[in-house]
Amino acid sequence: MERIPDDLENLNLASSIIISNIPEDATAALNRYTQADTAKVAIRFKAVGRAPILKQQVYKITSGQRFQTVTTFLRRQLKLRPSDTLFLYINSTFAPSLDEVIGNLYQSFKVNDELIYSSNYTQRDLMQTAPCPYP
Amino acid sequence: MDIKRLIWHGSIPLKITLSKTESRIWDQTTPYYIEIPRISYLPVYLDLLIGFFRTFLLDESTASAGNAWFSTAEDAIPVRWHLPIGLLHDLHRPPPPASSSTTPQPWHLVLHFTNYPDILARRQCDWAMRDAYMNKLKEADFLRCGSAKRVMSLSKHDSDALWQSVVDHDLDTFTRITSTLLPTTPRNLPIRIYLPTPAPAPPSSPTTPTPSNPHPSSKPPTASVGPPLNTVHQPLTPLSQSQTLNDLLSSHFPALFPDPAKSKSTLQRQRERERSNGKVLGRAMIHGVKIPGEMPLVEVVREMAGADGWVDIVVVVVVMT
Repeated sequence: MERIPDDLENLNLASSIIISNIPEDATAALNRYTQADTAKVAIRFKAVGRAPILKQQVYKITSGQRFQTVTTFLRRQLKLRPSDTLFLYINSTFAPSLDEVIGNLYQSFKVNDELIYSSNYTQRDLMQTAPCPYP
Repeated sequence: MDIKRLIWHGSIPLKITLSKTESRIWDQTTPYYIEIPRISYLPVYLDLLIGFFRTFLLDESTASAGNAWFSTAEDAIPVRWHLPIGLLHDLHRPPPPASSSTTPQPWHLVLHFTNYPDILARRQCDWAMRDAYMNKLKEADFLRCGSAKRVMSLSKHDSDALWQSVVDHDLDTFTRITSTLLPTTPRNLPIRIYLPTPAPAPPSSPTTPTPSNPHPSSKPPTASVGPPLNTVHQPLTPLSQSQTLNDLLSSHFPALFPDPAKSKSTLQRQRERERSNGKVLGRAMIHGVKIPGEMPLVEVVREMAGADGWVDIVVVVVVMT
């Protein structure tokens, strides 16, 4: 199974908040729980509507990665231009925000040990009539 | 007043100033003071703010909701617009663990219209905020019921009215619509836990965690920089009615929330540790209020969920002295 490469920049998606008042001793206690999870989970892509079908549909990804890694990866795979809009829904239901952690989404919404994304995309000329992409 | 009403009417006083590099008069722009409901969202107030600040701008053409973003005045950190304002406040300005008697000052945010930061999600259209909200609502519904069909089968009128009730701060309409969304026995509970995250270890060092070593050699644990938000969902385990907030927190983070049942056997050891370096403990805050650990989770969710159906728990760490 192919792996979606980790996006190290994305790990720092939220890195800009400084918690300056963490007591020194708390750092150790917190480090225990805030290490990015390195376990791999499987995600499956399903093309919907005009989205092209990927040659490979199941990928492995590090669970500590943010959802944005998936969207960036898929955009690259589908060779989308920046003006194209990609829609990604979990279980054909909702679009998570870009900063959600993959591992959390997997734990909560997996089906048969896979996290299922359905994808659709639209080109710029369709933007006027298309529903709003988020984010 | 019941808890729901108290939460709905909780608010955050804000002082909003224009980024001085974008102002015609540098830092002399008049600040805008506004009190925003905790359960509401910053983009809701953008039209108001744009109207106020437009004439102060060097380049008035930049004044659009799509360009607008906020940062904290204190440490210039971009603020994530898709989280409720109350949660943002508690994450950026964690409430002091001990009740202090100082008068709360308004939270100072800076409004920008240029240099949109990459780490923030873009709002590509006017209804991006409403869309983000509906997605959060569906996600919560999926956890509670195993599918989002309750939210998805809301009529167009009702789903519009639901978002509008958040915008208009109309609790009656909100309660009327959401009362159909809550199952009597939820499968899972939509809970997010936010932990402050200390500085990550440098990438060159081995990744083995060394929780026993409070002083990582390479990096002083002073002003901790790092992804501060670790979100953890309630795991998909059969939910027992008696499960409490403490059960949840001590199963995820036993070092911060020691299980009271277990602590007896290790009381001696614990006492020693307390004497040596002061014990680090977590405190669970929801809507800026410390919540008693013995409260059943089902009740926490029923009474304290935000407008998007989620309960956001902010963990504050304290060192016992």
